[in-house]
Amino acid sequence: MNAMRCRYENEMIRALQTGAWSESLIEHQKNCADCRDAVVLAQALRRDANDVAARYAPPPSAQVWAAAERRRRMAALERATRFVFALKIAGLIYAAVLVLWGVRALAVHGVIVPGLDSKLLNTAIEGAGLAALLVGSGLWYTLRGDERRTG
Amino acid sequence: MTLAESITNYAAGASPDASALDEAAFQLIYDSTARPLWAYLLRVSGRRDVADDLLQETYCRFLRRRDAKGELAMNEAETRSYLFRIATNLLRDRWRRGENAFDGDGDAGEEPVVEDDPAAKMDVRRVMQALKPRARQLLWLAYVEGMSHAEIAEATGLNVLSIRLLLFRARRHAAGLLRPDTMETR
Repeated sequence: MNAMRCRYENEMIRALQTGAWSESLIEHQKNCADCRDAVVLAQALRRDANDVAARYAPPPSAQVWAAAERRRRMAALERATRFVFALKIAGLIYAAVLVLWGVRALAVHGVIVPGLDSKLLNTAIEGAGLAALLVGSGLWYTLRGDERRTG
Repeated sequence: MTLAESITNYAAGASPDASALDEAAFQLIYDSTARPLWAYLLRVSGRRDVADDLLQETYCRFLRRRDAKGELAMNEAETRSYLFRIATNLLRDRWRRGENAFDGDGDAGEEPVVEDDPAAKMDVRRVMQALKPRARQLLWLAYVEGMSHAEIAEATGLNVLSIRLLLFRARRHAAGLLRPDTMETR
C-alpha cells in the first residue's frame, strides 16, 4: 500500500504517541510496509530523543526569564526613543508653522517685507500644514511597522 | 500546582503584581518542555551551540507574547505545540540565512559521543545528518512529538497535502538508511 494515500497514517502517528493500538491498526500495519518502516523509525527516533533529553541539563529558568526581561526592557527603551524622536520632528514642524503664522500676522499689518502679502503667506501656511500632516502620518506608519517587527 | 494550572495562571498574569507568579508558572512550563525542545533543536540543527542559542530565543519569544496581548490562554499540549512552532520558525530563519549547521565545519559545536550504546545513537545521528533539514523536522515532529499532519502544517507553514508527500519521502529515505543492510554497505 502506498503510504501517501494511507488513510491510517494520522491514526498510526497517534497510536505511536499514545500506545493505544486498535485491532484494525495492528492488522493494517502487518500489510503496510511503509507503516512498518514508520514504526521502526519512530522507535529509533524516540529512543534517541529520550537519551538526548535525559543527558541535557538546561540552564535555570530564572536565567532565561531574566534574559527575556532584559530584552523586553530594551525593546521598551527603543520604542520610547523612537517616540521622543517623533515628538522632536513634530515640534520642529509645528514651530515652523507657528513662525509662518506669526510672519503672516505681521505682514497683514505691513510690519515686514512689503512684497509678502497675506495670500502668499496663506498658501505657505497651508503647504506647511499639509507637510506636517504627511510627515506625521509617515512617522506614524513607520513607527507602527517597527513596533510590529519588534513586538 | 499542576502544569495546566500554571499555564492558566500564567495566561491570567498580565497585572504587574502577578510577575512573581508569572515566573513560577513559567518555570513549570520551562521544566517540562526545555529538554524535549532542546533535543529537537539539536537533532534538526546538528549543533549543540545552535540548539542552546535557539532554545533561549524560543522562550524569549514565547514570553514576549505575554506582553503583546496576554493571549496565552493555552492548555499544556497547545503550549508545547506553540513552543515547537517558534523553534521551527527560528530554524527556518537560520536556513534562509544560509546557515545549515550539519554542513558546517565546527567540531566544537557538535554533540559529544555518548558512553552507553553509542552505535545506536550514531545511527540516528547519521540518518538525520543524511537528510535535508526539512525532512529532519517533519520526521521529528511526526514521530517524536506525535503531531498530526495538520499540526505539522501549522508549525512549518506548509500545507497539509505537502506534509503528507514530504513526510512520505523523508520516512522512506530515513528507513532505508536505518536498515542494517544499508548500514553495512555504507
